[in-house]
Amino acid sequence: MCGIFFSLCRQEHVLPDSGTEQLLKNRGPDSLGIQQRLLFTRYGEHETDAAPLYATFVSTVLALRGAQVTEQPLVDEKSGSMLCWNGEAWRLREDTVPGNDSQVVFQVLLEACKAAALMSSASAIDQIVSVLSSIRGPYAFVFYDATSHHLFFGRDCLGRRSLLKKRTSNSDLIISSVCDNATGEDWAEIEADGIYVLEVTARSRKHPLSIIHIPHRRSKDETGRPSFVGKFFFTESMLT
Amino acid sequence: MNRTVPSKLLPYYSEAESAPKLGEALRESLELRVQHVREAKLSANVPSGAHEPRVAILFSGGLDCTILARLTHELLPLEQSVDLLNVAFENPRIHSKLGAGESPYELCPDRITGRSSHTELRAVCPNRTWRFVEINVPYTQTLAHRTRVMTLMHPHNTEMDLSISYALYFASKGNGSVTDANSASISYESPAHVLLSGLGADELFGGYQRHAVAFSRQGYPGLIEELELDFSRLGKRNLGRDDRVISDSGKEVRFPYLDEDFIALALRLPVASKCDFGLPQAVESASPVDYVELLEPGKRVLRALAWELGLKRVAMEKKRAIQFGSRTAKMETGKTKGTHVLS
Repeated sequence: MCGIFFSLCRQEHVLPDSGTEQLLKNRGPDSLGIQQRLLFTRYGEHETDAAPLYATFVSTVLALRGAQVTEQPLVDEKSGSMLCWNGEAWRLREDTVPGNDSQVVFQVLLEACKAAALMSSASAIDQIVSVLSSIRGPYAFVFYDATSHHLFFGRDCLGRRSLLKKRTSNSDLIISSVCDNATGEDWAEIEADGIYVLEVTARSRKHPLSIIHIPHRRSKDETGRPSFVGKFFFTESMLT
Repeated sequence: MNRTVPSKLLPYYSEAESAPKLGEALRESLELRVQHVREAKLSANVPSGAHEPRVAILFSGGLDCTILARLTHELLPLEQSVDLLNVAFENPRIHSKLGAGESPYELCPDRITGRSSHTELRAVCPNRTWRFVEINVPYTQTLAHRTRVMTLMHPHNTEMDLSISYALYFASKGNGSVTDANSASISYESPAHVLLSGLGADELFGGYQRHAVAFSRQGYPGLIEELELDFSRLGKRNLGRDDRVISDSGKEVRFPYLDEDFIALALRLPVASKCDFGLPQAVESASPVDYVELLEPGKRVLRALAWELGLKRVAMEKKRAIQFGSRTAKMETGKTKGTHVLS
């Protein structure tokens, strides 16, 4: 098992409080990694926004697969993309994943980002969602695609791994596998009902974050949109 | 979901006929989940690594988890032992009038069933070391960990959440005792980092009382509707809670019955190939009947699988919820409802 914490804030970097950090370490006693980034966004076509958003990625790891401990968060230095992965991808795009899965998932996600870089913003989302929908196995994750400035998070369609979201008054985004609620803070489960996507733009700094929900499909999809996560077990032939 | 209702015109496979196919799919699911566990940490450091258990089973002794144990046996090297984590609680509401020398733990339904299924597993797979880990939780311990368990299960907050979480929390810590070759009890902490849970089997194969009720009221269409409802909310509500509570031990719970391909197969099977409530359980009598008819209809396909795997007593086992089997339900007062929100 592993632990995930992520925050995206306007004023400063926000780390887990000490109680929550300890609970995350209990889940992943083999390693603890912290990555902090300032996310600058494009203002207009040519202008860069002067004030950044403060992104904090924390991962703890319990090494169950592979010959070495794979530390997290996984970072692609070239693009700045990052992954916190708490899961077991038993299969990915019909292939069995031998050994450690977090590296494999990260590489496939990065390739999808690269392929999407030449396309529209909507196709970037489609590419990533298509990778996630091909995963068989439990997971909760946070992935930042630095190329398209999209942040993805969510849980597998059965909710086999935990992911919580803190209710904040200023609409900062705070996510964690587990929380120390000693101070009576208000956390809610992120529903295992799809993948959540947030485009980090200059607007995100001043306005409430607008998060897109891409639903898992448990039954035939009325809209007919293809490539949604979870479609795997519920093809038409199984449902009729 | 397959909505085919049995009829004379459309032949279908009985539970006994579909059991081998289901067993094969479950074996495939388990193969992914029990092999190559923690090789980065174990092979380097532990000279006796080959014998050390890497997989433990959350073991009430019931049908679902005992099938997992039996199939895991086929997938792991023989020298690797497997831990069966069996948890029992002292419940002041129930255990207040014990006789002298009576153990509250040995009276727990799951302890009794657990021991009997352990015995059957040993008889069927004699070359495997099965460690039956007795995890006994005195009421003082339960109280001492109450705040911690409440923190972990948050934002879940009901009486029933707490009852279930207590059982999972102490079971996954794996601190208990085992009986050695000389029948002496020695303290033991399970080192296995992967825990298997039988969750999902009741929802997929009609194991709850309400499935029987739905059939008796509305026949096959009612039963199918109930199973569809189960499927639509499978997991979702409680798996996050269970993950938080169990992972605190630095262990990972895996759900072989919730494998995507296994679920797909379970959905494809017509209802009469899973749990044919239209074929009632036969009473044992002098006249010989097909063994399948001796099994109760709920989860009959899994019962047939257990029977075929040599677990004949387990095949007859009744369903019991974890909080009642381990006696964590209603420890503080017998009067509250499970949905009561805790403060």
